[in-house]
Amino acid sequence: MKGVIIAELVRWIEQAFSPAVADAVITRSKVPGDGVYTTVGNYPHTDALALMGALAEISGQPVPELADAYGFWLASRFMELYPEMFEGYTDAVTFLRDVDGQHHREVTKLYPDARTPSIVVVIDGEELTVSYGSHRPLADIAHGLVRGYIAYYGDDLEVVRDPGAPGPHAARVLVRAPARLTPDRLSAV
Amino acid sequence: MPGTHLTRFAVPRLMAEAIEPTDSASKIALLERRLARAEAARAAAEHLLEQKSRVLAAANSELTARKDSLSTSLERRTRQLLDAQRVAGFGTMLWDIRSRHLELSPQVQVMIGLEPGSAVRTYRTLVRSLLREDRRRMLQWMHHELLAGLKNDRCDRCGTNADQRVDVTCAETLREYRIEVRCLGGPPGGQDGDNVRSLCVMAQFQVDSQCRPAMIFVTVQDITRQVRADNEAAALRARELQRLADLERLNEALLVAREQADLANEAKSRFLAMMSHDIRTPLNGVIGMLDLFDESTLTTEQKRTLTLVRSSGDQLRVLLNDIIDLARAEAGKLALNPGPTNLIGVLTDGADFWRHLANDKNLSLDIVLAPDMPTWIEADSVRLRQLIDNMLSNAIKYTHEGGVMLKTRVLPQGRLRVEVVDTGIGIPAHRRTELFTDFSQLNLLGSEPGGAGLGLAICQRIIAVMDGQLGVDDAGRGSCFWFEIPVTTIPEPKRVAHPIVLSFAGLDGRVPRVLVAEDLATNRIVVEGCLRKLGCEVSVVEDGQQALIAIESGNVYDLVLMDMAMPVMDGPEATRRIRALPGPHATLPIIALTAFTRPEELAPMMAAGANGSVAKPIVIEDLYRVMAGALALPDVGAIAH
Repeated sequence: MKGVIIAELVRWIEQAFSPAVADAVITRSKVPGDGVYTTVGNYPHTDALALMGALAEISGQPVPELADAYGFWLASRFMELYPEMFEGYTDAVTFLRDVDGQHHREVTKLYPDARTPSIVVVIDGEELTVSYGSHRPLADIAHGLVRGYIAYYGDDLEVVRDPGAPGPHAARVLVRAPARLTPDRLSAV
Repeated sequence: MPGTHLTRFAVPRLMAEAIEPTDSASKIALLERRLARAEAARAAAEHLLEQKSRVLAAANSELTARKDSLSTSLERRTRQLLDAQRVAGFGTMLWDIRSRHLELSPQVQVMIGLEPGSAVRTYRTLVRSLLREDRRRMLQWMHHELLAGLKNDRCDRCGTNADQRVDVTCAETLREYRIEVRCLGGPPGGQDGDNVRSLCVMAQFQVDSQCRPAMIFVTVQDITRQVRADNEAAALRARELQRLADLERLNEALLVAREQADLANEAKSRFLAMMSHDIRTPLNGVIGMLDLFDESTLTTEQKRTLTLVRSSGDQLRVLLNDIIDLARAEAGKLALNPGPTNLIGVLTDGADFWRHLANDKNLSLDIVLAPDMPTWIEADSVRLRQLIDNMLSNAIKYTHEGGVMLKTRVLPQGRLRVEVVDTGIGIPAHRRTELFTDFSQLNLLGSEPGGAGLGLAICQRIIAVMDGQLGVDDAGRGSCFWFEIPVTTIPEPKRVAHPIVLSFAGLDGRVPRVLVAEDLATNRIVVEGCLRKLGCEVSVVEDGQQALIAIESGNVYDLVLMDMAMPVMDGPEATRRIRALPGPHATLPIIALTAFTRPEELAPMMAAGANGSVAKPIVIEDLYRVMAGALALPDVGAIAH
């Protein structure tokens, strides 16, 4: 897992809770390296799961809810950290369509050993379906990211998590926007 | 940009109390841990970055090395390609269809007379380098064929045309467009016309990643040498055809000339044949009549005169035979008639024949035969004797004192050398070649003119037919004439002793009855006289028809002597008719009696059914031999021989 996901997770805990909670989560999770993460490194995704689990125990909040909130926040961090990724995009749908084809390809260019998740965007009538698939059980973070991008572009879209998607390795997010997703718009997509 | 999407969470109170630091020491401890983690993270990041830098530096070095290697390889390949173009006499051009930019290889620039590296950016520059008469053709080719092909040609594979663009050029890329043009180029300083180069231009489209025509790749080949060679070959072919035509005309003229020469030669041969016939006929009469004289009734003076007349007649006959032989030799018809020949006999007989002449001139005539010389050989005895006679008579003729010697020597490989050495006037070396020329006589000091000058010329032809050699050497005093011939030794034939009696009377107790058909009275008398001498009973008629009537009327004859050329009915016709008669007449022996001696002249008579021939003037021995053969008398060969 890229270090940016897990380093930003520690940063998010410090901001959403407190530095002391982050310190306690690191201690409780017993992650190797005592929670020292850098964005340019690679770490086992089990570290993120251990930290998220420790945080749930300390905060009393369920993991999916915490992960979704983290994903939502992470979207805004990506925009701060990698503004060039978002250049030229004016709406979330177009950006999401290009995530797998272009952005993950750029990631792979920089980090040949990175195993990026697959993002498939399908437009069916008035619904936009974003399907996420990964060997890591981080579907909730992906859901939060989708929400974060939509919120960033200010699109008037409704985001629904498809309850039929199995397990934490996959998620299907339905994006509904009858008012905005006109046929013209869809064909442009 | 909207703000950070941070949702704040609270920790349950009891948990918060346990976690959050309350005193300064706890707060400082927390800060120190966070600082330590941040330091550690920074160190880890630096370490990672350093590692990545090292990796990147290594990768950069490797890439630089690969780039250098590729550059070197590319440079080498480019150089090889350019060298190959220079050696092979071809160059390349690349024409960008969109920008119309033209890129020429150095070899093309040399071909069209530009300095390598000259800036040629459009095809118009290229076209201007061509000969004026080829420029329009080149432009038409480019616009009407090349670019039209690009726009209009239908793709064979996808079926669409160029307007639709998609994949249309897939077939175009395979197609080659070709034109031959000329320009002024090549090495400077050539002679006028030498700088005109012939170029073969071949173009092919290249497509971009969307399968759209992007470039035209052109190869330019210098085919000047080939074109010149083709032109020279064509000129050579034209010259050869002209020469062939000339030769054919010459050949036709030669054929005509040869035909005329053949006709002339044939006319000469006919003339010779007729002349020999015409001369033989009266000669036959003269000599034949002389034979009929009963010498017992003549005075001594008359006998001497008769002898002189006979001698003159014999000379005339020899001369006539020489002329005929020469004519035969010239016509390539001098043939040998080989048979068992007593070599020693021929030589001694020849010497004996001429001995009386030598004696008359008080000359010695000696024979020295090689001890290892064969006695019997397979040879034409008549021609052999002719050689000996010629050489001996010449030697005696040109020798006034001393003598003549006939010598033989056996040479290796079955060859025999015969020499006639005399003590005569000799022949200067520089005049010896004249000896063998037809009708040539050397007027040498002390020589006696005489003869026709044909003897040695005929001898040379006879020797040639015998596959031998003839020559003359200096014998110190006099000359040495010699010939060398291959000889085949044979065992001695069985001889049967019979009395040599030239008469049919008494051989089998019956007198042969002979019918003679001869139109000339003189000849009739001669033939009749000869036959009576041989003891025959003779009936004489004047032409073929009378002969036929005589036979048909029931007269019985044992043999017919038939002249060939007769009025009313000639010999061949009469022979044919006799052969057609019923009964025993069909097998009646018929002997041709004629002055025609050439085989082709005798052919009509033989074809009509004649059994043999006797030449005129008649030699009685010959007549006897041929008649005996025709009458199938025993051992006639031995008697005649």
